[in-house]
Amino acid sequence: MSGVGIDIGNENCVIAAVKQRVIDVLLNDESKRETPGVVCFGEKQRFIGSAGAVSAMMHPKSTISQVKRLIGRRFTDPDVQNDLKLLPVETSEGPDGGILIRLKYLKEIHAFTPVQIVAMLFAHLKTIAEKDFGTAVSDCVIGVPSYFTNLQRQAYLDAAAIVGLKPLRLIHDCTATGLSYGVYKTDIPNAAHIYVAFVDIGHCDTQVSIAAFQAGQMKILSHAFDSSLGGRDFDEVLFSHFAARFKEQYSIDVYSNGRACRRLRVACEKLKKVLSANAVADLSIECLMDEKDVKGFIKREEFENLASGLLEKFNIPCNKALADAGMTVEKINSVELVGSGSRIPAITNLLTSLFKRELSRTLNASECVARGCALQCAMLSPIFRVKEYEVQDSIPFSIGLSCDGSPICEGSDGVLFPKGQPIPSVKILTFQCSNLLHLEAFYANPDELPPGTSPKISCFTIDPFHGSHGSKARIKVRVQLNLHGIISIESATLMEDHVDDSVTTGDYHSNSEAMNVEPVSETVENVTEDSINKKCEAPRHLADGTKKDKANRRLHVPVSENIYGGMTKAEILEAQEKELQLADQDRTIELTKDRKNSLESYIYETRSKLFSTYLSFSSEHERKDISRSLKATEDWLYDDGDDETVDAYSAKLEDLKQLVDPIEFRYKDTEARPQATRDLLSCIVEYRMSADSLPPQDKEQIINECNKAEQWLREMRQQQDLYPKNFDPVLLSSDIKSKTEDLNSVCQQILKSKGSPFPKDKGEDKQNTSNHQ
Amino acid sequence: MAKEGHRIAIGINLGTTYSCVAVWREHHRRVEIIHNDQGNTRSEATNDQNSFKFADSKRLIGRKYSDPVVQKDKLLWHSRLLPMWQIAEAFLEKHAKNEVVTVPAYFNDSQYKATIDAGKIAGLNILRIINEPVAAAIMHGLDMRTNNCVGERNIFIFDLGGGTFDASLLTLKGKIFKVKATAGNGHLGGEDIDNRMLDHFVKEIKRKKKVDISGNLKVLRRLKTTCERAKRTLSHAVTTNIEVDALSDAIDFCSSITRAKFEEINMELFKECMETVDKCLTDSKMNKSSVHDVILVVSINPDEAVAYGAAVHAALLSEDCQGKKLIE
Repeated sequence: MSGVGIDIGNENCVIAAVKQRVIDVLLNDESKRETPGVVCFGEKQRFIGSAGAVSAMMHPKSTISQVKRLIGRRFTDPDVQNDLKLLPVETSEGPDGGILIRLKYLKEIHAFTPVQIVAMLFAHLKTIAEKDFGTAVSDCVIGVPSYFTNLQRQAYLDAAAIVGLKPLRLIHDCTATGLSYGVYKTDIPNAAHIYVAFVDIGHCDTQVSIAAFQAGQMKILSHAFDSSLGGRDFDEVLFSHFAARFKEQYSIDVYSNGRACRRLRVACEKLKKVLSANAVADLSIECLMDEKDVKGFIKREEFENLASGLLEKFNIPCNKALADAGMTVEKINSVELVGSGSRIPAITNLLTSLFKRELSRTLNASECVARGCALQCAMLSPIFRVKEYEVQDSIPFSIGLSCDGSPICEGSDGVLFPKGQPIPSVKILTFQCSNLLHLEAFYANPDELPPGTSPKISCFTIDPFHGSHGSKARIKVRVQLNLHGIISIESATLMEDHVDDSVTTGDYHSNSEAMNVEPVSETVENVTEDSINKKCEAPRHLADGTKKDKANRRLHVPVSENIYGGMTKAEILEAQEKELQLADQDRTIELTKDRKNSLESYIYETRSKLFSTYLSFSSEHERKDISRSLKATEDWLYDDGDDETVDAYSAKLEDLKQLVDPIEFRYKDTEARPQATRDLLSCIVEYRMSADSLPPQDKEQIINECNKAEQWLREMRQQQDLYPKNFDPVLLSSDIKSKTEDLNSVCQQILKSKGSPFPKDKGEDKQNTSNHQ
Repeated sequence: MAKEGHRIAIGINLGTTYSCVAVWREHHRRVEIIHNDQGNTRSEATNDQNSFKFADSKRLIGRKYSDPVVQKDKLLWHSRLLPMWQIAEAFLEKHAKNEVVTVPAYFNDSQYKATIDAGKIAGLNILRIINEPVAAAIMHGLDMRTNNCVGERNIFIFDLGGGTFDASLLTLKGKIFKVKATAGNGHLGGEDIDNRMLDHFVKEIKRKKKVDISGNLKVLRRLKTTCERAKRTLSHAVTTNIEVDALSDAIDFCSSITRAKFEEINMELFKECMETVDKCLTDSKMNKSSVHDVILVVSINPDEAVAYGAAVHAALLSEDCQGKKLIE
């Protein structure tokens, strides 16, 4: 068992692991370090990752990419609608307002949620890791954008659960990057801080985080983001530009042709990359539309002008990160630029100007998140011993909690976990009520959220009166912001103080006083503790000092939780079942292709051997028969047999082998016979020599046995020599081996019974030699 | 501007069609392949018009130093070394002065010297020029060090590049690699495989679509690109698809190929490879049963593997390799 770090990007995925005490990125089937985040449903099987990218052109309407942006979003969200226009798949609104992806697979229409698609990517990465390790993989740490909401984080956990991964933590992308930066920093003096800004420009988003580093620890001071600003937006600028130019120049409307759009987008992405290293770039696409070849060129400065609106947007998250951290650019020691979209020179220039310093690019821009995740996984795993390093992260949103509709007062703005709250955190609340307790978690400041995000998070129902009613109760609720950055209720306990106890004790007055006793306070290690009393009744009286043991007894109260828009347990089970079916189908098809390939390979190999290795071991008639069958099977393969079952291919192979195996047997036996003969003759010679020291009667017996064996061999060889090679042999190498074993058996018996000077070991060695050969 | 500071060891592999830079990363105790500004791990030499000359030069064996081709190529090597070095400096934010450069096993002394001169012109201090097979073996040897390998090991390097094929037999004793024998075919490589596949599909298109594309250079180029992609896919899949848009007059072509068919098409080329392997073993006076390890440096990530080993070698030659432990 080993743990891995996973970074699911909008375009590419990276998986890293601890190997031989260092962090390394794992290679996929194509020996690439980045795996496309693509799932393509072919006619009979799925293609995921690199294979998905290859198949996408053939099955555009069944190929899903850029699925990360769809996780936890509402179908009617304008941003989502814009994203869906980029995907050729058909989509619709699900029952819960989420997105359903509709496609044709196995000749049926199927509907998948984005969580299910992400689960498929997780399964693919899991497979990559398991191939590398040779064992099962389940522990992992997964990178998430800092702006991911509670729902989106839970969606990632659900997707992992669907495929059997156990995330030890969801960690913010920039925090993972900071970890892989800080843990290796050995030049930070003790008691000193260095402040680093991490700017991560991805395929579709930009995240900026300010972190403080000390020897042995790092602390995130702020997270800021633009969830719709990334490398693909620059591709789109070029795409729009050339679509317009080609319409004017070649009278073609690229927008009307899906394939042309895809090809032009691919060309524009390459164009952007060329412009990063060259001042001018050419674009040339053959037969883009209406059988027309198109050509264009653009200068870098023109591209930068077209993108000037986008470039200015980078200022916003950078300035916000600085402000939230309470810092100015002068206090920043270093700016680390990472992310697959970070290589445009104009971005570097803009950030250099904004931060007033040269940017650093000491981290691997595409791999740093996955490496940081793998490192965190090693830290959290009991398998590894890792250098002590503390990671303090925080949430970028304010979270509030309401009880039966009214906010629970904590801070002046009604926030339970304010923006910047450390991860993890626990708050302990005490409620006094006589009914079901309904708690709702919500985002207290919608302005902090990505556009289109619902402020509602989840609701919890606490039922303290299960089995009893009509009495007051005090409930202690532990609300946690857990390691994943998800808010949940860790536990709810009932403070026992039923009036009914008076019957047992017989002293009403004493019990009445006990009702006012304060609960014993708890110390919770490494978490922020806070206690709030929520009253629904009259104020409590001060305790009179009397304590009863019974009053401190706690009963755990069941809590039911519902994340708005999230998956239920039943839905997760259903998705697991579905994933198993799909994976099983994939394996079946792979097996079928393997069988087909084996059959085809056998045809080519046999045809070749028939006129080389097997030539002298087959008759002309046999060769003609076999050639005819090979040809017939080959024709079948490229015609009716192009798309058949495992059994069909296996049966065809078996039919051919029935014809060919006799010839192969002749060949192999002829090859093996000389060695077997030499072994028998060696055995005969040795026993004759060993017989010299024996009494006359025993000597004669061994000599007779050797003579008989030699005679048999001579006669059989004479018979065999009468037959051409293309006949079934009459002297089999296995017969010779049997004769050798018989001779060994008889002679050893004689030698042993007379206290032979030859040890038994020699006999065993002889047999071992024979067996090996 | 790059800061002066610790000496950093990098490895540069100049390939026929791709060049690649790798850096020894002390913190990770690993080599890392560096992305160039375009985000690719390999700089596509074919984007540079001059690179065709350079590509040709690698196939020319045994030129004398004074030969005009060698002199001309020296300047081309310089033009290739400088960008590689700048990429490394930008990545490390440090001034990289110490490099190990790899050259084909069959380079002669004159060609070695020309490569050193090219490095000097680019402002580099070339610690050593090593054969590509040695670089590949060092990559393998790095893992073996952690396995505490004892004694002498015979390592066979099977290096099938885009345009050349090299076979080498080395012995590893402690940390010392010694080349026992080298054999090569300067005109056999992955591209020949691509061409075989191309021929196959030209015939198939003619048979199925009744269209002869053998004279259509545009379509041939696109089909060849698809064939190269298919070749890679067939290393881990038993079948793959071939698709070419706009074959001719709005006809699209879609087909598939199995690994069996791929192997059948290229069987003659594979036999030629084995002849080179046999020659190498014969020259080394070693039986194949004596070979302990076989390292494949094949057309997938070939240059990264070689640059990887070169960077390890440079790190070992420098004094910066401390081996600090982070994870146990």
